[in-house]
Amino acid sequence: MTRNVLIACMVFMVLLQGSYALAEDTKMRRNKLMWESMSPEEKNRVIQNYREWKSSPPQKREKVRRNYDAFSDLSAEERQKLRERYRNYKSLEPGRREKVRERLNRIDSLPPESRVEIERKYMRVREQSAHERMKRLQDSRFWNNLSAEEKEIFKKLIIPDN
Amino acid sequence: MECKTIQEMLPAYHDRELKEAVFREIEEHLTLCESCRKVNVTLMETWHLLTVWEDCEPPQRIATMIVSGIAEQRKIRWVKIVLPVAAGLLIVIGLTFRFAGLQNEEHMQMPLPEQVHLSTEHPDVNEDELIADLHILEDEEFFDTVEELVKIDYLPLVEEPKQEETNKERSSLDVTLT
Repeated sequence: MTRNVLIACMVFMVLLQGSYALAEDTKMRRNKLMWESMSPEEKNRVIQNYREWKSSPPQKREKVRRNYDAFSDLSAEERQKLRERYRNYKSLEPGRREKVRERLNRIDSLPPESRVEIERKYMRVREQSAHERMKRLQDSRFWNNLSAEEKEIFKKLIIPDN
Repeated sequence: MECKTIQEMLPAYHDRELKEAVFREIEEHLTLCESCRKVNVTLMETWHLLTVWEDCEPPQRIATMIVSGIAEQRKIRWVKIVLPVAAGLLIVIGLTFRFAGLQNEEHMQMPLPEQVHLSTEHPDVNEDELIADLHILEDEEFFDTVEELVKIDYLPLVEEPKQEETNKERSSLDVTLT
């Protein structure tokens, strides 16, 4: 019995390693195909990004990799929503983008336990319907304390459909 | 000679493997000793039975079953040995590659000169490295902001009214309604 369990564990580990290697291999092949199919302009843009990437500090690269993994774990709908949010964020004037960053800095200044609590809450909120989330947002002090201009900014970012 | 020694020597006595003197001594003993004579008779009967024994061939079906059963047993024994050894080897190889891969990732920023595949047009670009990270590089700016973009959803949660405040608001609403 113990031996069978041991063998099963070993086989599982081997399969896990195999799947990891396969995933890496698939990613490399996909990237290669993507690279080959890129136009010279796109390639130049990526090369420019590569140079910046190489000159950036390891911490930043680590953060970007982490963000990529987190993004990959999202559902298709959430990914689309985030892409849309990014486009809206990018379209903001620099002064307005600064206002968003200021607000976000408040989260960074929170004690670690509060951040954990918020992340936990967020996991629950993610399960709620769009209507419930909207209700929750409109009830929040954050929303009620926003100026008209800020409301316009955050409305674009949080509820782009409305 | 004692009876025990005589009885032990009886097979050799029958095969005429003993020296003449010993042979005679056993022969003489057998005429005198009743118990040794009985043992000798039993031995002779057994020898006789063995001589009349006829070898008979087992049916082909049983022979095949026995042979294949033995082969199966050998196979199972091999599988029991080979499977854990192969699994162990694969794990070791897998872990070695994984570890080597991690080390490679850690030292990605300083690849060895012989491994570098430089672009002909852009001598400062290591194409292999670029392709390995292409999924990030093609939209690096977006992936850089992902954390902040997700955090925007946290903002209403940071400033959510506390439970007691909500209850207070609700009770004041109830009073107003009544």
